[in-house]
Amino acid sequence: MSAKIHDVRYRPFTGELRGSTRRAVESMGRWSALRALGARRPWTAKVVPIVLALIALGPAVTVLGVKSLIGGDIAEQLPTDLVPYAFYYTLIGFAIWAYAAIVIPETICPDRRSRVLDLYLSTAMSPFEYVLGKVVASLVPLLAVTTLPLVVLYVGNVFFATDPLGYIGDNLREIPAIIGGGVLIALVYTLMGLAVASLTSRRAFASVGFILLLVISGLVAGALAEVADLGPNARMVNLQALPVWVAQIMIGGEQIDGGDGPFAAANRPDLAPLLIANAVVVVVCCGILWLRYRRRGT
Amino acid sequence: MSGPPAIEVRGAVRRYGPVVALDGVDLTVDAPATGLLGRNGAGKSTLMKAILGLVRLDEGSVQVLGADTAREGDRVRRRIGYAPEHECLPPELTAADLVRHLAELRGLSRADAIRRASEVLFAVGLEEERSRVIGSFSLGMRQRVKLAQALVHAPELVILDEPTNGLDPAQRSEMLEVIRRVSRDLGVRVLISSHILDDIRRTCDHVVVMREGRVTLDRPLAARAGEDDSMLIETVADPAPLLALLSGRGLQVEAAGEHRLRARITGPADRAAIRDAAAEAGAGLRRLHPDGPSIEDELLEAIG
Repeated sequence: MSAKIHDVRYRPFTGELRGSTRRAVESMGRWSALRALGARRPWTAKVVPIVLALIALGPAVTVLGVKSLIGGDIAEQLPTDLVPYAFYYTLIGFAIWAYAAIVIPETICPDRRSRVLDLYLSTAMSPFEYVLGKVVASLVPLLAVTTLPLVVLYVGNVFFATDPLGYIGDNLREIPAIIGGGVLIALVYTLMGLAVASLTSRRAFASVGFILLLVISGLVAGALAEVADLGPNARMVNLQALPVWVAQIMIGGEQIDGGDGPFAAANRPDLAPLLIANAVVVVVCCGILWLRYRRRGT
Repeated sequence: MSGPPAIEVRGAVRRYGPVVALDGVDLTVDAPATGLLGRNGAGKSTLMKAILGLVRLDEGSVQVLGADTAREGDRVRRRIGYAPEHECLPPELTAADLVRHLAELRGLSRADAIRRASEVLFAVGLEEERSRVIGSFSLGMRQRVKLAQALVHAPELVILDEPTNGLDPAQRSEMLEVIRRVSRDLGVRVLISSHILDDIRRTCDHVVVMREGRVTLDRPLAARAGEDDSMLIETVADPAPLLALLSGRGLQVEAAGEHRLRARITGPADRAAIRDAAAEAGAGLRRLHPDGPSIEDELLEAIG
């Protein structure tokens, strides 16, 4: 009689299965964000997100660098805000759009292309949890571009101020405005990016589609305002600037002209219609995501 | 197996426009390994999706491990593992990362997910390759990854949709061996769909055959009592001496045509006795086989 040894090193799992929405969303968000940022992938996948984040941080680092280099009495004579917070978005608008166009499709398109979605939905995770995880995966990295640079600038300004506590006291309102404005921009572009990316399994198509959406909406807004003479409120279809205008107003940038570009104050509609327009964009994007990810076959 | 049956399907009907994918399916699955056999388009995949709660039935109900899939789909999916038929693995992830990720989605903590991913990848024979990206895997290895992710949360039931599809003979043989081990050694009930009869014979204890959305056969794969009792003996030479010899040794034997005898046997010892007697009588045993249709014949007829 011969003995047979089975060493499959497999034991029945006796631990706790903690199925919950929070857990599923957190897991999906973490894995997707890491993949989109190039974690455990070749260096070429990491370059673009890192470079764009550095570009977004560039103005803040430059301003703080100038302050630290010149120092002393000359620095005292410089205006406290070399770059006003509300104007900052004018400088980094391109980086925000490029980041949203390149990183967000990376969170969602490969799942469609490799059909791994079927595998995810065969677990207890619902389509809603899946989409929520993707929103988290897109939103959190985007905050590094929309919010972090202004936070760095604010902290640096406090650090280099002759009276740091006085600076904080004078600019207390800016703290929630910087965070709230950054979150709003990130949320609107996240949902727009996901909605566009949900329509295709090709990352390149999603990126180009997102950029085209911004460019075409800007052209349409300009045409409506100038050719049809409908005034600044006609520019609410301008998706390039819609959330940025709200953030600028929140931060107190009513007086910032924003240069001649899409963020120029002369082009800016009123706050209430702006908020409604942003809400409409959010609802439309959520509707597209719902249509694309409701459970199939049911 | 104790407790409720693994799967109970009652009067399941599912239509896709004019096409009836499931046409009143009644089924109880509770064997360690059950094969779902049928041609492409017979309704196997639809039935599997209905079992997972991913397809809503037009009529009827599906209970999995005692839970109704229509009302408690999430609860059902938490207790079962599923490996789809089609390619569904992200090529840029490593096997370990994917299995770990799916373990977390199935409710395991991060620490448990890491440990379990390692265990199941070992169990399916991918321990050495677990840190390689899936895109560099052969088709057979990818099928094993699918099996590993289905096992990672220690489900009570694993559903495998065409797990040998596209594999070469060597890969197929290895995959069937792994599947057999899952039900026999790991104690996980398995439902496997295939259109290849041999796959089911090698891995399963029970078979369900589907044709045009209906169950046409539902039986154990082992021969039932009495099924192999009657054997046909074909000889090269005149079988009369053999008939006399076997009758003298107490076997019920009768002539069944030229060079043919029919014998009733009760076990393997009788088969050996016939073989020995044929040699002794110089009859030249050409063939010894069950009298009547074999299981294969029955399955092939049910498949259509």
